[in-house]
Amino acid sequence: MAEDYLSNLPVEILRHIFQYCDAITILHKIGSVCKRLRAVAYQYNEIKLEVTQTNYNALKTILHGIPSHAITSMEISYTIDNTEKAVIEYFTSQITRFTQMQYLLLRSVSNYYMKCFLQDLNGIQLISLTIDIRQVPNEFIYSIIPSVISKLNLQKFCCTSLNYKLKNISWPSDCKLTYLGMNSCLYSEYTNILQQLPYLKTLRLNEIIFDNEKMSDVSFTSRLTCLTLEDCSLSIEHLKLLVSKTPAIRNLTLAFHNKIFQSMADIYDWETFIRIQLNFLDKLEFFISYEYSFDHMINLELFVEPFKQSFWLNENHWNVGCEYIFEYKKKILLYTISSATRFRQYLFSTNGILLKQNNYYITKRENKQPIHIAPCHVKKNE
Amino acid sequence: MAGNKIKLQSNDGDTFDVDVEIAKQSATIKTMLEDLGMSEEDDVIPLPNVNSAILKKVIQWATHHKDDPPPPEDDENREKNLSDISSWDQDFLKVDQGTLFELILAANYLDIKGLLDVTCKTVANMIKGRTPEEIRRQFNIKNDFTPQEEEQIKKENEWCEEK
Repeated sequence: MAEDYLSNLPVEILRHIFQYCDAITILHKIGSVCKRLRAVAYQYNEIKLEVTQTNYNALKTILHGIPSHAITSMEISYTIDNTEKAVIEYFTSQITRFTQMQYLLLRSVSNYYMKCFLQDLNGIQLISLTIDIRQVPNEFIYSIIPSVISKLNLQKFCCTSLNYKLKNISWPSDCKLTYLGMNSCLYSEYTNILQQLPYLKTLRLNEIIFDNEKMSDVSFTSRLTCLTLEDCSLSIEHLKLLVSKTPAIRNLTLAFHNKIFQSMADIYDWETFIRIQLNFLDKLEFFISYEYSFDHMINLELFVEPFKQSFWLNENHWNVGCEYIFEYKKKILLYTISSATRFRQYLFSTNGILLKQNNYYITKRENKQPIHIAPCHVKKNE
Repeated sequence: MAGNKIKLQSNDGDTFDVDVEIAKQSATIKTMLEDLGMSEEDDVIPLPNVNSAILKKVIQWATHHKDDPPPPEDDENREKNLSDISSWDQDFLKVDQGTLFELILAANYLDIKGLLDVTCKTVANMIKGRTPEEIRRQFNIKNDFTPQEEEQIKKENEWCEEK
């Protein structure tokens, strides 16, 4: 008889495995296997509740049996219109019971229910709140956000549909946010965010909209160490100015999705910019998607040539690959290899050829799946 | 410092020459080298909880992941993105259960976070979507509940499965 390894694992490892399981799996599946697993499952106190339209009835049932301190995170992704109200109301009414709740995430909620939810959220303190509104957020949402951040004592706040404008949101004074994620802000108002959020360490934006050459001239000391722009359209010059406002920055992630490839000078300018201006970073990830309209064949080796210097390979271990996508719009993707899977949501099904570290690979992406890379038996210069 | 090697010794006596930078993915070994002042050239680091076959696999994993970026400081992935396993890791972990669980124990002992994460995720994926009976069969676990306990659990699960 084969050995039983799982139920004999040390508690700390079982708890580590539970981190990747939902509440029903932990309590009702694993908890029904044997005495030991049941004991560890019912003592586990970092349960993540994930409420969806298929499991909310089951969750309502088990919620009564879970000690109130055992739940640390809740995620509600519920999108059926006619019962949305009841489900959101039920689970938000339970929130105050969960004294150790730290992370709360609400997906794809309408403006109306988001308003009710944010208004009713009292008596708890969270570390992180992520909300995702399926419409353009209305004025009420903008007006209530500062007080929500204040009353929940949030360190992390994300709202993927929020467009920051100075006139719409005024952050609470002495705001302790260390992590902020939004859809966009204006280039001219970028420094206002940094000034008003002095503890901010991570800022994630989908885009920075270029509106004006001049950034707001406010004085501040920024602690920002990590900046992510998911859909950047700024020029190299404006990026340089942007980064210069945050001297503590060490992690930078940039994605450009709609560049038009003009000539190899584009690639050399980009390489020089990073090597000269951003050489103090600890971690850099970039992804550039160029539209390529030329008829003649391309040589991927020319694109990665500038990234073969010691600065890239030895000093920083930033390996850059180049991929050619054959679709109706031909694309050339230039990216740091470590970010190959990160930017998958922007590309639907694609097939391509990737050159990395002197080897060619065939690539395939399915809708939102990680990129699949297979070795390709093409020799160099073939 | 690049290219410096250390010797790691498994509990069955084999020694392995490993690049210091690769070995330092293990926080346990890193601490031994840095805090306890063990020198890199002459000393052999004994690893009494790891056998040769597993140590070889661990070194193979650490070598493949030597250039991985450090985990993000901002903790953003704590809440989500839990089930992604790269295709290399998936292939690497196509092993029998004994090896998989020994890798988990080794990753835990050596304190290699990335390896512990990916092996635990693999086990979680083997559990998810299965009934308790299927989990027992998958992992050879004996049902040791009394008939009364069994009855109680059955009742709870019936409520839970009602829609």
